This record gives sequence, C-alpha cells and structure tokens, in this order.
Amino acid sequence: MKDELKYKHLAEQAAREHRRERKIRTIAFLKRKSAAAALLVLVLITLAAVFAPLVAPYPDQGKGAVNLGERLQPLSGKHLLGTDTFGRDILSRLVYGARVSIFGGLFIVCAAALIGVPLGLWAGYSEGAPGVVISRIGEILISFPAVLIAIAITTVIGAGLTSAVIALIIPWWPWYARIIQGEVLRLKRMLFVEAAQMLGYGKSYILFRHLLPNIMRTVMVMMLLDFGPAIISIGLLGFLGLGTQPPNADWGLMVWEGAPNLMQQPWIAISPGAAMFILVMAFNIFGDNLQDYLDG
Amino acid sequence: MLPFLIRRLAGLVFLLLILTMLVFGLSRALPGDVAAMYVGLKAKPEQIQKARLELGLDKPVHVQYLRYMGRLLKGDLGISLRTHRPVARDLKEKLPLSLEIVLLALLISIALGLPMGVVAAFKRDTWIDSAVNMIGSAAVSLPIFFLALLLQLVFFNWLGWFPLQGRISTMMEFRDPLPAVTRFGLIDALLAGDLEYMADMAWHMFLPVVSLASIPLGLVARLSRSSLLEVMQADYIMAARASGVGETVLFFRYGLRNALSPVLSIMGLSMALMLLNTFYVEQIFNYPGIGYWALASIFSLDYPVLVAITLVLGAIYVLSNTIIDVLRRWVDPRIK
Amino acid sequence: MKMRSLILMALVLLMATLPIPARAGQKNIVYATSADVTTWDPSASYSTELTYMVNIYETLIRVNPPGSKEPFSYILTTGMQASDDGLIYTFDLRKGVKFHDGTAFNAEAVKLSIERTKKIGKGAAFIWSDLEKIEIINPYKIRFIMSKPVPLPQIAASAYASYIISPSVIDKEPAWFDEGHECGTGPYMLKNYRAGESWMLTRFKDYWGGWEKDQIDNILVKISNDSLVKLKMLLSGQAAIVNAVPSDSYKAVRDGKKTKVVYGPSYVNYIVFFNTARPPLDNVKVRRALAYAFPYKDIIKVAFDGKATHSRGIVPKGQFGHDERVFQYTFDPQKAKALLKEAGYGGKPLKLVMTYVAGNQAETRMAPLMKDQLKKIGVELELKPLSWPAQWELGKRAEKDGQDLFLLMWWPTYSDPYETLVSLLGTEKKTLWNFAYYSNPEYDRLIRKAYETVGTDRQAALEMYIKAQNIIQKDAPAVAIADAKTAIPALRRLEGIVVNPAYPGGLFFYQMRLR
Repeated sequence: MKDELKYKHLAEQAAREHRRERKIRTIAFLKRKSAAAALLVLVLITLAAVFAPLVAPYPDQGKGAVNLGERLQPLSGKHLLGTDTFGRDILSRLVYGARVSIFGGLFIVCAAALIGVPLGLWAGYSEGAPGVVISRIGEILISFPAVLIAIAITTVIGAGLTSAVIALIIPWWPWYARIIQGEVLRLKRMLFVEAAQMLGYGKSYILFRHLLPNIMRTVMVMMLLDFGPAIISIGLLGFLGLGTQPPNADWGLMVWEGAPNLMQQPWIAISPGAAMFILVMAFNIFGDNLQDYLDG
Repeated sequence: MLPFLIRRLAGLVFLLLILTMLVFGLSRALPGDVAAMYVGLKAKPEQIQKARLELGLDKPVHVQYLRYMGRLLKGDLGISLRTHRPVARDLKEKLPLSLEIVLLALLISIALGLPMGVVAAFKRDTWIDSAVNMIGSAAVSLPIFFLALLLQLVFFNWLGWFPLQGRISTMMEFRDPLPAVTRFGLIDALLAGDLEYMADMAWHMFLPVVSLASIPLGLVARLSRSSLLEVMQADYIMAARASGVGETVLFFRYGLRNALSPVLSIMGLSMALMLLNTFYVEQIFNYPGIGYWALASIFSLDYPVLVAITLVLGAIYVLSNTIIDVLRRWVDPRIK
Repeated sequence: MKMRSLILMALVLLMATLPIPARAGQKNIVYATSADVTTWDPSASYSTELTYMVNIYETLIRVNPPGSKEPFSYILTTGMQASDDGLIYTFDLRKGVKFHDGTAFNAEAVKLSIERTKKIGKGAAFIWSDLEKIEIINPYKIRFIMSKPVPLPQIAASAYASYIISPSVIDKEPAWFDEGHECGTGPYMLKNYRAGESWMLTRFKDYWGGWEKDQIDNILVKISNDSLVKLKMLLSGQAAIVNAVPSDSYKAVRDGKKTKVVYGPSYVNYIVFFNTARPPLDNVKVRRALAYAFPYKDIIKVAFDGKATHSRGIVPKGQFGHDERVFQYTFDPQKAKALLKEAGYGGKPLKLVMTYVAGNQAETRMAPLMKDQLKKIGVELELKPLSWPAQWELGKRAEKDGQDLFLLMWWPTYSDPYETLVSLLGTEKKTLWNFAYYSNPEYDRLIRKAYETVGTDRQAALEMYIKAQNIIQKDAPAVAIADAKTAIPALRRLEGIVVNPAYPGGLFFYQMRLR
C-alpha cells in the first residue's frame, strides 16, 4: 500500500531520501517573491479573522443580523462588496467567514496530524500486526465519503462546524499515518538507525531521538499543503448545509446562499468563492515554496 | 503478478464487507425511521407499521444485515426509500453517466497536464515554467462548486457557447431515447450511428468535464514537472549525461518514462476525488448521474441508496488503484 | 495524433451548434421542476407526482378553484345526488370515456379502483375510512354508502387516493406502475420514463373531452432541483414553464418581455409549533409573546417576494373554514416584551431552538428574520436546519429533549379543514404531526362534530371550525405565519395556466394553449 499518495502532498518528494540538517535561511526563502506575497495574504486574512469585530465594517451583520433596508445592494462606498438578500454587508460576512476557514482548517490539519503521526510511528516502528491493523482501518476510513460521515454525525449531534470538522478528521488522519508509516520503514533501514540499535539504544530512544526530527519536516510540509484541501472541504460541506449553520457566515455556505442570485447579483456568490480561492492558492504557493526550500 | 492481483482482490472483498457492515449498521443506528421515510410524507402510524413489516425492519439488526448480504450477492441492493425503485437498477443507469464524464476528465487532465509538466520541466526556471506552476496551483485551489458556477456564468450567461444543463438538448429529448447498449452515452450514440445525438451529448458534457478535470489537471502538471526534475538528477541519468548522451535524448528517452510512475500513482485518488466531486458538478449542471442521485438521497436520508453509493465508490477506489499499480509495474520495473 | 482528435472534437462541437429540426406542427413544451415522483401507483400516490397524476388519471368530480360559480365540476360523472342524512351518494357516470388502453370506463372500474385503493391502504387511502360499501346500480350509475355523514364530494374529488384506474391493470403491483406504466382516462399518457430525470406526457388521442387547436401535444418533464438552472432555462426559452425560480428573481421574470408569473391561491401555509411539553413554552404567555414577535410583514416580503398572506389561524386563506372572525397575531414587540415579563422571563435571555427544512427556500429565508426579531425581545433563537426526515424524526420524539419551535410547511389533502385541524393539533397518543404536543379534548370534540356536520349543515360546521380555531389562537400551541400563493413562472405565450389550490402543485396541461 506504500505506493498510494494523497493527491496534493507530493509526499514522495517530501519524504524522499533522508535529509541533511540545514540551517534555516529565512531571508533567502522570503526573497522569493511569490512566497512573500502568499505569506502576506495569509497573514492579512488571518489577522482579519482574528480581529473580525474590529475589521468588519458591520460586525453585527457579519454575525448574521439582518438589514432589510439595504437588500441586494451592488458594490458601493458604503458596502464595498455589496449586500446579500438579507441586506447584510458581504465584506463583513467575508471577514467573519474567514474565521471558519482559517481556524477550521487549522483544527482539521492539526488533529489529523496529532492522531495520524503517532499511529503511523507506531505502525511503522513495530511493523507486524499494528501496522496491518492501522493501515486497514485507514483504508476503510479513506474509502468512506466524507459527505456520508458528515451526514451520520449531523443526524446525531446536529449540523454545525463541529460536525463538519469531525467528519473531515475521520478520513483525514489515515493519510498521515500511512505516509509516516512508510517514512519510518524507510528510515529504519538507514544506517544511522541501525548504528544506534547496534550501540544498544532502546527502541523508544531511537524513535524519539532520531526518527521524530526527520519525520517532523515531512509532517510540517504535509500540514501546510493540507491546509488548502481542508479549507475547500469545509467549504464543500458548508455548501451542502452540513457545516456552519446560518445565519453565521462561512464561505462555502455564502456561495450556496448566493448561487440563486448569480445572474442578477453575481457579487453575492463570487466574493466568497474568490476569497476561498485566494486563501487556498496562498497556502499552496507558500507550501510549495517551503517544500522546495526544505528539499533544496 | 498473479499473487499480487489475488491479494488485491481479496483486499477488495474484505474492504467491501467491512464497508457494508459499517454503512448498514449506521443506517440502522442513526435516528430516522426508515419505515416512515419509505411511506413518505403524511404517513399514518398503521401505514408505517405495515411498511416496517414489509421491509423486515422488525427483525434484529444482524438478521437484517444477513438478509441484505444475501440479496446483495444476487445483485439486489434494496428499494429506494424516496423513489421506491430498485436501487440496483438506478445504479446501473446512473453510474455510467458519471463514469463517462469522470473518465473523460481524467483523459483530458493527462492529455493536457502531462505535456504541461514536461514542457515546464524541460524549460526549467523560464517563464513557461512559472506559468505552468501558476496554472497548476490555481487549478488545484479552485473550489469545485465555485468553478462550476463560474463556468456557467461565463460560458452560458455571457458567451452562450455551451449549454446550461442536462445531458442532451431538450429538443432531442422529444425523440425516442437511444437503445442502451453500453450505457455510455457517447458510445451508444456512435453504435446507433446517430452523430447528431453524439455531438449534442459531447457539447453538454463539456463544462462538467472541465470542472471535474481542473484538480487532476493541476496535480498531473505539478507532479510530472517535479518528478521529472527529480529523475533528471538521479545517478543513472548523471552517468549517462557524463558519458555524453544529449540532454534532449536523456530527457525524453530516459527521464519521461521514469517520471511517469508517480504521476500514475495519483490517478486512483483522482478518480475517487472526481467521483465525489460529481456530487457538486452534477447538481450544478443538472446532470443526472450518480452524484446528482447521491445528493438528492443525502437530503432525503435515502439509506439504501447511500449504502449502495458508498459501496460503489469504495470498490471503484480500490479497483482503480489496483489497475494503476499494475500499470506502474509495467512502466517502472523497479517496483516489486 | 492529438491534433487530429482535437479537430475531430471541434467538428463534433460545430455540428452541435446546427439547429435541430423540431417535429413539424407539434406543440411541445418543457416543464422544468423539482416535483419528482415517489410512486406512479394512483392508489398510493400522496406526494409531488400529483402534478402529473391529474393529467393521466381523473376523479369522479373535481373541486373548482375559489371564485368559481359551482363548487365542483363533473369529470367522470354527469350528476350526483345525496340523501338527506348525508350517508348515501349516487353518481351518474359519463358515457363514452375510454382508458388509455381502449378499455371502456364504467361503474365496475369505479368500484374496483376505490376498493383497490382502500385495500392497499397506502398514501391517502384513509380518506375512505368512513366508506361502508359501493353498489353498482347499472354500468353508468353507482352508489356510495357511508357509515358517517362525512363530506363525500370533497373526498371523491381529493387530489390523492381517488383516481379511477382501468380494470385491465387493477391487479398490477405498485412496482409495475413504478416502472412508468399507467392506464387512466386523462388527456395525457406517460412515456419514456427515466426516474428522477425526465419523462414525457403525450396526448391521448381518444380523450373524451376532445382536442382543440393550440393544445399541447407533448410535455417533456425535466427534473431539476436547482432554481437557478430553472430560471436560466425559462429565460433562454428552453423551458416554457417551471415550478420555481430563485426568490429574488420573481420580479425579473414577472416584468420580462417573454416571461410572466402566474399567481394563484394555494392552501400551502407555514406554521410554527411551540413545544408545550416543557418550559419555557409550556407557559402560554411565552408562546403568545413569541407569536407577537414574529415579523410577519418582513417575512412575506423577503421569503415570499410579497406574494403571500399574513395567516389568520391555521386554516389557509381561501379554504373552507378560514374566516375573518378568527383572531390574528400581529407583529407587536412591545406586547411581546410585556408578556415575557409577565411570564417571569424579563431578565436573562431565553434560549430556544427552532428546526426547519434546510432545502426549503421560504423556510431558510424566514428563519434568520425570526431570529433577528426575537433577539430584540431577549430571546436567543438557535436555528437548526435539517433534512425533512431528520426534522420529522426529531419532532416525533422531541417532547422532552428536542426542538422548542418547529417550522412546518403544510398543505391539506382535501378541501375540508378537518384533516389539517385534527392532524396538526388533535390529541395524539404517539406524536406524528402534532409537534406542539398539544391536547385539548374540547377542541378534539368540536372539530370532529364539525366534520360530521359539514355534509348536512355547512354553516353550522363553519361556526364550529371558527370556534375551534379561536381556541387554538388563545392557547397558542402553534401559530401560522403565512399562507403562500402559488407562483408559476412561465413563458408569456403559454396561456391558460390555472391554479387550483385543491390540487397542490397540479398543472392541468389540457387547459393550456401554446400560441
């Protein structure tokens, strides 16, 4: 099974060979223009999300308060990105929706890594039964459509961002377990691990002292590259009404809400869609650059 | 090769078995009265009770499961709660429609993505390279539902080049349907010699296929570029280079073949991903395939359909990965 | 090689842009709709397939739209007599009517059809529960004998469970029908059925009503759940009639050069149930406070494009039983606040949960408006959009731990209000529709009495129905928000679209003309 790859990870590169330690040359890295631009976008959106109540022109509307006096207004000085069918300021809702994307994405990626990495380490290091069991379970979860998991969860605990995030973590962590497992198996055959074993160091010492640092880099790149898919996945569930619930803002949900007005008021659906595209693109470019740099 | 295939098939059977148990168990454990859904809106208690007996829901869950498995082996997937039609029949009609656009999208993503990646790698660090990189990143960053809506807005609303929705023009639907031989629309139309029908279908498929192809296209372009660059640094290429083999020959003769394997390896995943993306694309383009059906079933909690779709998606995922592994072994003899 | 396939592709695409010749002289239209089919079995049908059923099958009599001179039209009958006690009805059947397979229509067909429906017991078959027996007097005269004086004409004209089926297919299983088979007497026949996708209604040449110029030959039904797609289909002329467009687009369609919106009465209404089984909504004052806090006018403007009526009781406008003497709650936040205070909930915010159907366009628009206004009187309303089965399931078991407010879209099965009143708020041993979990024996008695009186003394029945509704308004276990109007977007050149609220969603294609 070691030959299956998560679509965007390109983890084969990330995990390829064992890598030499290298001093971090932050400045050289940031000199690359695209990476700097991407980082800027990420920082700006994150700041906007964190300080949403201060950034949003109409914080109440961002949280869902209706404003029937100004329904379906086009772009103007008062409403930079126009208003939706309830008269709510789209920019304010974008700012609040960014919270869902950024923090939801962060949570999914971290949780998937926190579950997947230890299991992958265990599976790879002990080989034999745990490895088989973990990869089998992973395989089953991966072939289970997240949408169905989301439905199952929403029928039990109700629809909401929490359900969506849980539904996405369940089929997500096996990717981490799988790739780490492969990585451990490869590293184990490397000379320095064998040398450590011959020198009489214990299993857990080797695991934490030698394998973990090597693997951390792979995990970091994976997490960064996973941010985009995680954000899109939240959006996909939001679009189906299985994520954030109205009247709260969520970019996927906003596209869904705006879609019926696409012909007459295209700005309602296009702004959140474009925001999502820009954020994901920034993550991807930044992740690519980081990876190139680490692979050097 | 044969033991490998047998192992894979055994794995598939095992996976499907677990999947049926999981999904079936879920469909019974989750709240939602299956019998009431079967009877429909405004059901009366005595009708629900009757349906419960009719569907065998009064039996313990394990008995229900065994019955389900028994029927499954005979190709019976139960009755849809929403439409009351045999699920297997609907599946047989709708799956080919989706597979058709998914396979076309896969084909397009390879046919365009591979040359893009190759050219980018060959012209490394030129504007072409950066352009391919940008296009690749953009393609994988576009949320599918947003892309589909955008395509509709531009190519139907503004330019009017492509149709809005459906599989065939409504005018064509007033004619009698084509005989279903393969159930793949384009092939059936070709077999029937009806080029007009075929052209009409191809025209309707265009935007859905483009939406689906976006992500795999970006993946293939990016991955083929990076794996080519990596291969070109490999020891044997270096050795060949040192012995005076020309760069172009090296690139196309040795590099390309060896760079194909990682590209192939993401095909299985792309298939699975695209099948899931049909949920959105088919909804937006009103394309009556498995995705459209799945979404309608999701919102009405049509469990028998959801179980069937989960099984089919799982099976396709494993099967396509198996096929790809076979291909990879063929392309890259290093894989044991 | 790749180039060649590209060129081939281009050629194929070019061909597609050539005009496709229409079948000469035929009047064909496309109807794009989300009204799918649950079953084609006319005995069991109880859902959105009604749209097509009324074209394929017919009933003995039909309820006329409000404002007509007569309450009923004779369809498969030519006359009807009722006994003084309202227990025996005699029908004269129409002669010369044929089923789609050529079988002649007669008394036997009527008897077999109704008995089949009653025996299968699915869908709305319960409407025949007070039918004792059917007697054939001669091939064109038939007698219905009832055990109670219930309003048989309304039942025989019901939108569900009262269709007459050919004796030649009376023994077929529902599965046979669900393959897309039928055999009715209606003006159209079903053809090329592709479940969940498309099918055709095509003219029945031998229809007893005959055919005139400009009537439609073929109707292609195209299932589409996406209102944006339907809007685009209509504006581009691909579809001549659709079942809905996005809420904010009705104005553009209405004002269009080529398009229009046909409005008509509807018995569909939207009702909020309050969970009377647990605090705080077990307190009538809190319930009334909420009823005064809903922004009825804004809801009608935003959710219904202004085309709905502020409800007055749970019997919708236009239906028998709706009356100006029923009390109406209006938007009055001051009164709402005062009532809350009286009930002892003046200080800390009250937290309540409301469920509604996620896919319902009107409900998804109403909910945020209600939340917004309730906030102003100190009630935090949590919105919980669910799929219908999930909402229903929760409602059925929710007395103690489910929702506080349940938003329901409702429509009556037949034109007497009894069904609505008893189903929604009558005492239930096991919850099915009464999501208020309300029980009031006096109310139960009153509506049953009205139902049994309506066949003989309509005015007395009306008084009882009004009294019953005012009990509800006083106790406020539920409050109706808006009585919807039917809005049918269509091309201007498609004329004769008649909205008949007794057949919700039913489109009588036979009455339409394509100019």
